[in-house]
Amino acid sequence: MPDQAPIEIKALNHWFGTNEARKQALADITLTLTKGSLTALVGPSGSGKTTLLTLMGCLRDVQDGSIRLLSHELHGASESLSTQLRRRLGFIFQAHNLHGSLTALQNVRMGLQVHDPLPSATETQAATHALSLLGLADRLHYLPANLSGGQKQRVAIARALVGNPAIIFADEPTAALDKDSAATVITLLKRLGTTRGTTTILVTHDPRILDRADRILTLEDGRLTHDTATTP
Amino acid sequence: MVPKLASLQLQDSGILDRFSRGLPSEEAAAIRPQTPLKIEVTNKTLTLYDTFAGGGGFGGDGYMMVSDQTFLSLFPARRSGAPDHILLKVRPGADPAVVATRLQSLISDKSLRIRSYTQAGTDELSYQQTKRPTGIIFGFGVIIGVLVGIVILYQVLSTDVADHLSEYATFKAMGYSQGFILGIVFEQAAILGILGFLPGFIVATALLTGMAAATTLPLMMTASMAIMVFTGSLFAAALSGAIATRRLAAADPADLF
Repeated sequence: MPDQAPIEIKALNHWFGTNEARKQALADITLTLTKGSLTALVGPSGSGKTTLLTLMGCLRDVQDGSIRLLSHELHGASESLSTQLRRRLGFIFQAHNLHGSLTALQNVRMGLQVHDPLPSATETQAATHALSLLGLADRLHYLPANLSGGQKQRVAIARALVGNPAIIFADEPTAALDKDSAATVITLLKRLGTTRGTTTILVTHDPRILDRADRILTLEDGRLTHDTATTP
Repeated sequence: MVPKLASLQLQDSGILDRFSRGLPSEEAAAIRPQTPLKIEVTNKTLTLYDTFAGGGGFGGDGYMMVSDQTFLSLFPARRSGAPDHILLKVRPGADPAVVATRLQSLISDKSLRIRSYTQAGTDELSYQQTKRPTGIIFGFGVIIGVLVGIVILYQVLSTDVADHLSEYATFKAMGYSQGFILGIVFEQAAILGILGFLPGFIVATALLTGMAAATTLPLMMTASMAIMVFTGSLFAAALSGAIATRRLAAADPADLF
């Protein structure tokens, strides 16, 4: 039996504003993402990439059309269901949005504590492992203020990955990273796709990612204009 | 006190509250049966043979005790047999409150109030706090203080929430429940309430001690007062926190991207 598609979108439309100021941000989007794939969303500024990402990530209410996320319909979904579903997702924001009063380790542990409680030692071990994979083993107890932009971004990535999410949504995840760190992150995301079946959708203009994406979706003026599979 | 009362049997004699306001302590200490002090009261010469420990209040700067005969000579308009207060002594082991209740039930004249010493003190305190202008003014002062405290705490909390909106929005995006996020604000409110109480308690205790020394009023920080203020502080903090949580509505995880 084939794996259930983690995301299925049908005839999705979305608008911002009201009356004369009403503007269509997404128009008639239909697509299905396969489990374990790494999909890049590209397009010019204002093309609807971020809107589509936030709709798929239960961060915005679906106005028209259908999004099935992890077998749950998001159109008309309750706040409670959205909250439950978000726990199975990982978000990597362009602005890292780390909690300034928490250390790198504590920030990453927050990604675990949203789930059923684990023994403290297990949480620490998992968070340490995630940070080590991203080359931050020697920065566990640093506050974000004492980390560089790239290091903060890697902490944010570790926080998104540590809870073993089914889907990762990322917005320019490698923008603040140097060449080696970016390669590490892309390799990690690809490996999660093949080993755990983690699906990744990211907004990016980084050619280092586009070269390794399984699929590239191009949006223009809210419409899906190109859908390119890059790997067989 | 009883041995000192014996000196009141002399006509035009009295004993003086040594904590009366404006009475120098060395002069009060000099008043002894061997070295009595003569004073003028309502154009009569009175001889003070001793002192006792009293203290000023809202009704007067101090007290003086005289016999009933001396009192009537000082205040001829007052009549013998019409006292303001009568002190009764109960047998050892008897409950004054029970005795007072029984006596009250036996006396038909309801204008005569029979109270235990404790009840009389409570009645006086209530009267001073709720009927006298000073008590009402102090009461308003407390209410205004609490309101100002709530406003300050709200400002601190709401500013903090506004400064960390992106972090709260991140919590929402990660799947943390609204209850968890509200809990953070309430926890902060409780911490501020507790941390605010501690220096407030120390300053208030010092002020009360200083005021008690300056006014001879029985002002002190009691355990019940501290507990009441602490509970009130937590309540005010919770109220401020509840109002500040309205700002959380602006924490939209969709804005994070």
